[in-house]
Amino acid sequence: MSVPETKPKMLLVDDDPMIIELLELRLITQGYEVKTAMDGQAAYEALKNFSPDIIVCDVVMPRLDGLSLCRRLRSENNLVPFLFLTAKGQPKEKVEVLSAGADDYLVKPFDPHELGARILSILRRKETGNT
Amino acid sequence: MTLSAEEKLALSMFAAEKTSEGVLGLDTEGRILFANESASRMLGYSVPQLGAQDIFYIAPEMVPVLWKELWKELRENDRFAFEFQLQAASGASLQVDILTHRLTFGQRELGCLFFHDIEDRKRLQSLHQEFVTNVSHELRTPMTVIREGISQVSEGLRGEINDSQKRALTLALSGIERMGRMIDDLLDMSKIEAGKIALRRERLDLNAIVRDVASAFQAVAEDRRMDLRVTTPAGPVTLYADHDRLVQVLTNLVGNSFKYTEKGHIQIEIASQPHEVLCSVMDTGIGVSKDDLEKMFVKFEQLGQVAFTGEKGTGLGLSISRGIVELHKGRIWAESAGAGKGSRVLFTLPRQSGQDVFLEQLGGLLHDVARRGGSLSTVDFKFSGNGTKENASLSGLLCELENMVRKQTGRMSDLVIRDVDALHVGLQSMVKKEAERIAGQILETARKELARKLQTLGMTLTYAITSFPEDAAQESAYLAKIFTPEDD
Repeated sequence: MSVPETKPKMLLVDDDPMIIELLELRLITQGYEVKTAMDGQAAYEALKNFSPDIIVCDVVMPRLDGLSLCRRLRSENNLVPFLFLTAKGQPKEKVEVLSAGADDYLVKPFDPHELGARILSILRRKETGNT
Repeated sequence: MTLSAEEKLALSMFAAEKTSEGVLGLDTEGRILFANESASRMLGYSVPQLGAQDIFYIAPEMVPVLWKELWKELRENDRFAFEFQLQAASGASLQVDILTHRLTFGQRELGCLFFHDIEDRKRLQSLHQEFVTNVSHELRTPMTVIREGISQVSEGLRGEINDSQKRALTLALSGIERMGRMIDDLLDMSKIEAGKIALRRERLDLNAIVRDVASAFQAVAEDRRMDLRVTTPAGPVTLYADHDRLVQVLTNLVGNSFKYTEKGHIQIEIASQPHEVLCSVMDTGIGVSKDDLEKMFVKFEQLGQVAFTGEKGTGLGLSISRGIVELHKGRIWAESAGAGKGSRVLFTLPRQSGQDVFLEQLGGLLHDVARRGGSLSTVDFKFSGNGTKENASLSGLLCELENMVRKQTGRMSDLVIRDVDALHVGLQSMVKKEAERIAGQILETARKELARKLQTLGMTLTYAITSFPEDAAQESAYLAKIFTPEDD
């Protein structure tokens, strides 16, 4: 799994410190520059002086949940690629996640290699879309 | 002491009046000829009020198609049991278990209907389902932590480990994966039990689905040096079913066969009959004893057999499969010549016309609409011309038309069913005038965009609109009117 030459920047959002600790190491090892936030509001603040290439985000969180964060960004015309990590896997909930404006989602517990592959595929799509 | 014939009759009458079951006597037209006190109490109407009504009034979901089916069943078997929804005088809906018997007085046929309230059971099931859903969601996050932690150590991200350590972690990971599958199965099972799975039925080709599932197992078959055979009729086997759920059933059955077959072959077969499709998965595996044939479909029942693949299942696969098949109004069962002689799981799926499937699903929508005093319109788009037999170009046209309809209305709540040469569309909360406008726009777009194809095929596209309550203000009358051409 090869990551593009310039280090892509990522914002990782989850209210579970264990998930943050583990995924941060995983993603750094995969070659990303990772910044973390513990809820949607903190993520929204962080975006004021950090422009990530992708946001990887939990759904259920205190203060501002993932769906609201995604909708808020889309309503502000911020089209940063958005990947949800969700604990829900039912069809209705998948539709909900995608219609909030996300690019993709993964259901917990997920295969870490699938996470890497999906992030890369979103980044690739974005690149080809821009050129 | 013995009873005279007259006293016996009086006692029977007394029992029918006083039993806690609701009792209704109906003629073949659905008119209520008899109602007892419990029926009156549960429904909130007086006995004479009930006597002036028909079954369709207190059971709006009893659409004419269902009523016909019920009598067909009664004439074949003399009795029929089902779960249903009645409507009380207050407008509240009442979940009931119904048992219907047929009795005849010379030439006359009567239906005797017994029912009791199952609201409590429903509420418990619903609570149980909610509980399972919540627990499943809560389990997923800690499982992610465990899985990720183990993966990182196992992959060496946290430093070198030796082979023995790696082996232990691989086992731990497969345990986590099994737990994940179990959670998915538990969720499915509890949804089926609470009646909360909504099928997304569409016109599909069972042959194609079977081929897809078989090819997904091809690698396993090669790996195990087993032969996976598929026998299907020539040409497509079309029926209305939920694609993803059928894949789930077939995957379950074929997966089971691989698990319990050491060598030989596995065969998937489809036999198409006029009223139903019979699909079976047969193997040369360990087989099942007669006593266990029915037990296989019981939750968590694993019959103490060990899979050749070493894989452990959840014990829910066959129960879920049964639930899905029954939701499709099919049957599922197992056959085996005995232990060591292989086994065969068979299921049927009814073949219904697109119109019947549409009416069945529309019936539920219509009922809600009628209760709210709202409106609903049905638009029936039809291709006619030279040959309107099912073919690839016609279904291509229908596909494009469906996309136009979905784009134009842009609502998930609408009901769209593709038929051989038509597209049946149910539009909620839409009055006739609005439906005319939208259908007109769709027709115009379709005639423009599909012009060349329509010309090549020598076909024209037309539509007919039937609106509730404008064209018929009664639910059953409305449903009966949709596919009946006006004679004027």
